[in-house]
Amino acid sequence: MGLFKKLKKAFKKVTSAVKKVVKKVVKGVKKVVKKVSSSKILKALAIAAAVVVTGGAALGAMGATTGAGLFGSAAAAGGTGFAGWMTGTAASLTSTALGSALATPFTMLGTGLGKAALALGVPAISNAAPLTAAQTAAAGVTLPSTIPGASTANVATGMNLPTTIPGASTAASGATVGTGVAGVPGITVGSAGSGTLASNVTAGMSAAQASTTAGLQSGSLTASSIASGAAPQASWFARHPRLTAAGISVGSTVGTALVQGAVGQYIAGDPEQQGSMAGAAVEGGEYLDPLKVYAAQQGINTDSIYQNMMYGNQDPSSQYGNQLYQQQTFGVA
Amino acid sequence: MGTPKRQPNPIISSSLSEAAASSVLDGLDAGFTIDEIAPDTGPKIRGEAKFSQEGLDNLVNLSNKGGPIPGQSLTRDSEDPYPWETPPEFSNPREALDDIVGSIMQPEAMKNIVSALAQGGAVADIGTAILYAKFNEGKITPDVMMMLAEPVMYTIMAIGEEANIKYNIEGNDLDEFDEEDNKEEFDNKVNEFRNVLTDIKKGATKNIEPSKIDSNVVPESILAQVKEKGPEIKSLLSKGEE
Repeated sequence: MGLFKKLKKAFKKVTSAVKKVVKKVVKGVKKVVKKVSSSKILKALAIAAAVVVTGGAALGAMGATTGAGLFGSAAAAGGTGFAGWMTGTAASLTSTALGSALATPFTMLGTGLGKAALALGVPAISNAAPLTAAQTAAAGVTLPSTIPGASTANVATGMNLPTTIPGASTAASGATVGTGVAGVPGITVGSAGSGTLASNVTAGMSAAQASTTAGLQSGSLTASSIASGAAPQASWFARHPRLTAAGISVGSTVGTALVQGAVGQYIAGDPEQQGSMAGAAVEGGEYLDPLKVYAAQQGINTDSIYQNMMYGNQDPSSQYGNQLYQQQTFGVA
Repeated sequence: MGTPKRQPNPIISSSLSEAAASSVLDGLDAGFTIDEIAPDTGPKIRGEAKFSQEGLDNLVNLSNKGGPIPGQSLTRDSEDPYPWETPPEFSNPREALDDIVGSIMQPEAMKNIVSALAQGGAVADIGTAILYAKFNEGKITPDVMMMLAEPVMYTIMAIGEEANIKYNIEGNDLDEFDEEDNKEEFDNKVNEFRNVLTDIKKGATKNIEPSKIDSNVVPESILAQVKEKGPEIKSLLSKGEE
C-alpha cells in the first residue's frame, strides 16, 4: 500500500474517532445539563473549542453576528460574555497559585503600615494635603472658622490693642508717623519716645497679637485670610520632628535585625532535621501548577512540552496563541 | 447576560473535546446559562448532501486514471523532490495549527467553507482536504496532520455554527443528534409508562382481600379454595416447576 493510501485510511480512522469523541462528550455534557438538545450542546462545544484553539479571537474574526460580547470583538479583547470570560488574561493570571502568592504579601504589607499609623494615633495624615476639619477634630485640635471681631473696621477690638501707646509721640522722635500706622486705629500721635515705631506699637501686646500686627503690616496677613480661618496645619510628623526621627531610627533598626535573622535562618535551614531540603530550597507553587502536574501524570517531559498538543487555559502555548490572534483578520462591522 | 460568579478554573487536557467540555461545564457552574454560551439564532440552514450525477462521474473518471506504478517515486530525480519529501516547514504542531487556522480565517477561505457546509460537505472531509493540502505543500508531516485533525474539525464546526448551518460531521449524519434525542425521549417515555403501570398494578392488588370480595362476582367455592391455599396459588404466567 502506498503512502497516500495509508494516509487516507489513517485519516479516515482519525476523523471517525473524533466524531465518536464528540458524540461521547455531547452525551457526557447532556447528563449534567438536563433537558437541553444535543445540537445545542454541540454548538456550545464548538464555540468553546474554537475559543480554546484560537484564544477567542477567531470568533471575533468571524463577524460578530451574535453580539453581546460572546462572539464579538469583545471576546477578542477579553471582554464580557462566555468567550471573554474564558480568555480573560488578567483573571487567569491572578487565579494561578503564583499570582495569588505574589499578591498576598503586598496586601499584608499595606495593611501592616496602616495599622501601625493608627496605633500611633495618626489617622491617615498626609504631609502633602492640608488637614481637613474631620482630621483636626480627630486629633483634638479645634480651629475657629473665623476670629471673632476680626475685621478691618474693628481690628482694635478683636485684637485687644491698646488704645494708646505709652511714650509714642511724633514730637519726641521727630519722625513722621502716619504712613506706617494709618491702618492701625487707636494709635494716637503723641510722643514716640525711644525705640522704633514698630517696637513701640507692639510693646504692650501679647506674642500672638504682635505676630498678627506684624503680618498685617508686612501684607502677608490680610483681612480675608483672617476671616477664612487659620492657615493649614502641618502634619503630626512635621510638628514633632525629633520624635519622628527617633521612631524611624528605632523602627528601622529593629526591622533590619528581624529581617536579617529571618533571612539567616531561612538560608541556613533547620540543622535538626536530617533529609530535609537545604535552606532556601522550598518547593514553591511553581512546581504545583496544573500544567506540570498534568505533564507528570501523563509522562510528558516538560522540556519538550511545546511539542505536545495540549488545550486549556493553563496551556502556555494557548496564551501564546491568544496574542497571535489579537490581529483582525476579518472585517468586523 | 449573566455575570459569572467566579473566574474560570484551570483546565488542561491533551484532547480538545475534553477541554471544550470542561470549559462549557465550568462556564455553566460559574453562572452562565446554556443559552448564553450557545445562543439561539433562529432556524438553521440544512446542509443536506444532495446527489450529483456530475460529481459521481468526475469521481469515477479520476479513479479510472489509475494509481502510480509501484516504485515510480524512486525514479524521480533526488535533486528535485516533491514538497512532502523535503523537511516540513512546521515541525511544531502548535505553529502549524496557528498557520492553518490563520489561513482558514481568511475571508475568502471562510466563504468557501460556509458554502461547502451549506451544500452538504462534511466537516471531516473539509478538514481532511485542508490538512492534506498542507501536507502536499510540504508544510506539515503526516504525524502533525493527524494531530491537527481534531482542532481543525472543531474550527470548521465553529464556523458552521456561526453561519447558522446544520452541518454534517462525517458522511451524511445531519440529523444524527436529533434522532438520538428522539430515541432517548421515546425510551424515557416508555420507561415512565412502565413505571406508572407497575405502580397501578401494585396499588390495585394490595387492597384486594378475599373476605371483601362480593360472592356474586366470584363464586363462593372458588373463594374457599383461595382462602385454603393462600400463598400457594401461583399466577398463570409464573414459572412452572421443573
